[in-house]
Amino acid sequence: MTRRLPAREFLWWSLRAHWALALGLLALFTDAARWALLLAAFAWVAGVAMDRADTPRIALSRLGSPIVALFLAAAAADFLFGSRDLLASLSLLVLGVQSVKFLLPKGSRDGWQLCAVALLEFLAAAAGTFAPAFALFAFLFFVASAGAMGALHDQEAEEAGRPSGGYAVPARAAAGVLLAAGVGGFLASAVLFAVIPRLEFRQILERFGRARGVVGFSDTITLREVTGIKSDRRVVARVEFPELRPGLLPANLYLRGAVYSRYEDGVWSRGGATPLPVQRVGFTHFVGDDAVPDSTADITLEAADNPALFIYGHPTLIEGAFAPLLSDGEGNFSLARSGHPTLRYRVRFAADLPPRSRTGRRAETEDLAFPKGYEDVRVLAREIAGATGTDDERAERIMRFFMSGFRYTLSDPASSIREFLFRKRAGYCEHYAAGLSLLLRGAGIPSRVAAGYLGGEWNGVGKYLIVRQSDAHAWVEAWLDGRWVTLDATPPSGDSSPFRTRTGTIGLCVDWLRQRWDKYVVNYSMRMQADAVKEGVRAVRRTGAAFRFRGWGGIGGAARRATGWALLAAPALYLLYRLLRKRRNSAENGSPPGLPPLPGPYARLVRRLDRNRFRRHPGETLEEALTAAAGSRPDLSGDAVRFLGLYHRDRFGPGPLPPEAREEAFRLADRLRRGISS
Amino acid sequence: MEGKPLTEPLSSFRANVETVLLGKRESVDLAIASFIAGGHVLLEDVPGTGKTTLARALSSGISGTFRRIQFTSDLLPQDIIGMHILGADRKSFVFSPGPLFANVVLADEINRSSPRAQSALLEAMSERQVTVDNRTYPLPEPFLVIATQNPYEQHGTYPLPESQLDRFNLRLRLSYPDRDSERQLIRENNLLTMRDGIPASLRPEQVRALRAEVDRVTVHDAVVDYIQRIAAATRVHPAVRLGASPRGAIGLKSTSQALALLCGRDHVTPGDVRRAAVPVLCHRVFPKGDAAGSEAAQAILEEVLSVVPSPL
Repeated sequence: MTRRLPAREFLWWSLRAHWALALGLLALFTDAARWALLLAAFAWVAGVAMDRADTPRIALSRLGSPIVALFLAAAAADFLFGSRDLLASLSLLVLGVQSVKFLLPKGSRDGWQLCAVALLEFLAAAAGTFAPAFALFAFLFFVASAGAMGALHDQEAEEAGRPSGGYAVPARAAAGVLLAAGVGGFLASAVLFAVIPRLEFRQILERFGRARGVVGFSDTITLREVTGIKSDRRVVARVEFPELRPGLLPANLYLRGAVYSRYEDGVWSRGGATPLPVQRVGFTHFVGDDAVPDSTADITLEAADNPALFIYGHPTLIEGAFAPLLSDGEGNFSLARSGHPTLRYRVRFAADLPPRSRTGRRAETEDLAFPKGYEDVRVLAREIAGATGTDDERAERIMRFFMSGFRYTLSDPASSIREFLFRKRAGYCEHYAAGLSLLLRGAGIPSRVAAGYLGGEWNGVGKYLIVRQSDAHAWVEAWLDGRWVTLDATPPSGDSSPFRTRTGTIGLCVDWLRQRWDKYVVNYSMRMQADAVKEGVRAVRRTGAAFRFRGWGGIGGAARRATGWALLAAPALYLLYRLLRKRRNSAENGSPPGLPPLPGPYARLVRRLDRNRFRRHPGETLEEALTAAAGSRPDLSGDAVRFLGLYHRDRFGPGPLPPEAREEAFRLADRLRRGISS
Repeated sequence: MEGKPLTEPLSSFRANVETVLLGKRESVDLAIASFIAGGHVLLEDVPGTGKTTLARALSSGISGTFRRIQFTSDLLPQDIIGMHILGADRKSFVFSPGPLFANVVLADEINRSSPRAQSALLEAMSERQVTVDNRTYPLPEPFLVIATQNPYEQHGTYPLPESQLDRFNLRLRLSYPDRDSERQLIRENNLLTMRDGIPASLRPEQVRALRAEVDRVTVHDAVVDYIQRIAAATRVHPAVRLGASPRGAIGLKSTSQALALLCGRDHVTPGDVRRAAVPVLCHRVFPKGDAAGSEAAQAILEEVLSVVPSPL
């Protein structure tokens, strides 16, 4: 049943698959220009057709440079006048290079380059996908890569005149390449974000957003069927708390998506105020100046179809790469467009506010507006609250009303508020919230219903909170002592609730990986770099007084400069390292002044021999080490003999080696090096 | 270029010698290298390991003359270099050349004779001429002395002094043959077999041409530097009383050149130097104290070779 393909055919087959996959990725997940994708697809089809027909390609070889130039011009034009998006423009250029490589291959080297190019495309696309799709594509991509690399290995062997060993890729080499590709890709993305700090990656991906996120958060609240929501275990958000006021527990915090002030015909909806853009500087939005923040939350909000932005407590600052951020002044924050991909933002907030003088009783009538036809509820409210005491005390009495005689149920709830309050006394959070709010209003206390999520599951592995759809909740905010206070009449569900989420350790670890990917790849931002630098500086400071930097306390400018310096310092350090290494090498090798420095391919071969313990002393010659290596790999001995002849002539011979012989020596050195390592 | 016609007889010479001395390829190569570089060879080992066989094979490989001198304690210089005797006309003395006047001379058990006889031989070795009664007679060209000595017999011997050892370019130790070679030896030989009768493949003038050829082999500056560093390292080694002489370094260079030529190369590689270093320098390095003996010297040289970085 197994049909064995000839090595060459297999190679191009797998490269074709590789490229088709990358094209699909670009088409599905990025905004690369459609005409460029079409052109590339055409090149792909042409390449396949030419392979089928065995057309010689020599005649086409002059087309290579014009095609690349065309794509280069297209990329430049796209960047200047078209999308103005670096990633999209670069992908145009990459497509051009890929087309040429595919149409006019010269050797196995082109195959490797195709693999590398496809990897770049894969990374560009991967950053925009969400986890399941990403995993699938990662799998397909790695399978295609492994196949292509195996075939390339064979073809190289064939070109070198050695027998190719079937299609087996040395497992270690393949794993090493894949690992290196993964790590390199990750670092490359990080560097890319660092190079364009003002342009956070999030912004680039903004445009690719698809409204296919979590559905379920709505703009209104009714007493509807909620069993589905309570058993929905999809993750809505993951929240880290870099700073949390002592005494607060993440599991008791209310993640608020919206507040509803208007109640009509059993439906709670948002107030009528028009949302206006929030004042901002850069990506920092100033949303409230009446509170002293004592906590910070980093919220990664999964893709959702609702524009609502979730916050904690009384926010003062929201930092995130979205503009504009709209606020209606009532506590509702939303994005300009509905439907967003994964979002990451930071909220500085005060968990609660201190009581203030009762000067400004809220004038807004919407929070007090009592619906018509609920006079019995108003009577009940006055009865429960009593006529005496402060608003605090009266609100307390109303809260206490719900503590006896009411039960929490999802399966058999009351069908209306009146039924809930007077007869059935059974319901879930929305009944409690609506009932409490109506009673407060009946007693003359302004109140509104808030919706969002309560608590979540704490992930001890990554130290963050997982908020799921099943954590959805509704509660009440009441205007007491000049500030909004959260009141929740719903009885706590307790640990035995069937809707309480308990994830195993493996699940937590998987989720942690996902969170890291979102945090460090998809949403890696300038601010996080600044934080990292600050963290590093703090560590340096802690180590002692020797390093005294001034002015690190501030963020922004100083941190950005530090990042710049770090980025400058890294290559400098690397160069220094290379220089020292070269020095040390030449000192070790004892090359006298008369002998030119060892050319790169030879030096790399010597290093590899050193590392694989074939050369143990500085006194041993390359010849001895190579002979020892060839002793353990007999298939290399032919190459070794040919190489040594050329090498000796090159280094110690009477005259300079002709260029083509030198080329051959370098090629042999590279091949031997690879042979030794595998 | 006259190198072309020379390579063929050289390789057949080498192959012939190797058929005689089974499993001693490296020693044969080194002996031939020293031979075409013009350096004398000292063979040192227990009896019956093929010292004489090698010497005879080398000599019969060239169509020259071969003499053997058995050194004993009563050997006199005249017995080696010859003397003036009264001519047949009874009026003048004529020179009657001793056994030294040959292309290849085997000086067997050289340490058994008195220093007087030894020094007569050694003068001839370095000067390539002998002086008898104010007359100087040049020795034939090529001229090669292959001396043997048995290091394990100490009684009644006169060990060669340092200065005289220095005259030998190469000291080789022909240890026992490996198992397969020895089996073959036992199978194919009896006590009467002479294994050294190989056909002559080199004429004396070809040997002279080969010597010129050896001189033309390129020695890169880096390799010269490497040789110098090896020689210098033997002199500063803490366990060494007397290190390698400049003559030793020159010998190392020439032997390396000859080895390169033998391998068909026109340039010396560090590998050639390393191959030649131990045989060329071992008898020129004298360890301190009682550690005299070739094992200690060889260990020192191997250490030097592993420490001195080879050019890459």
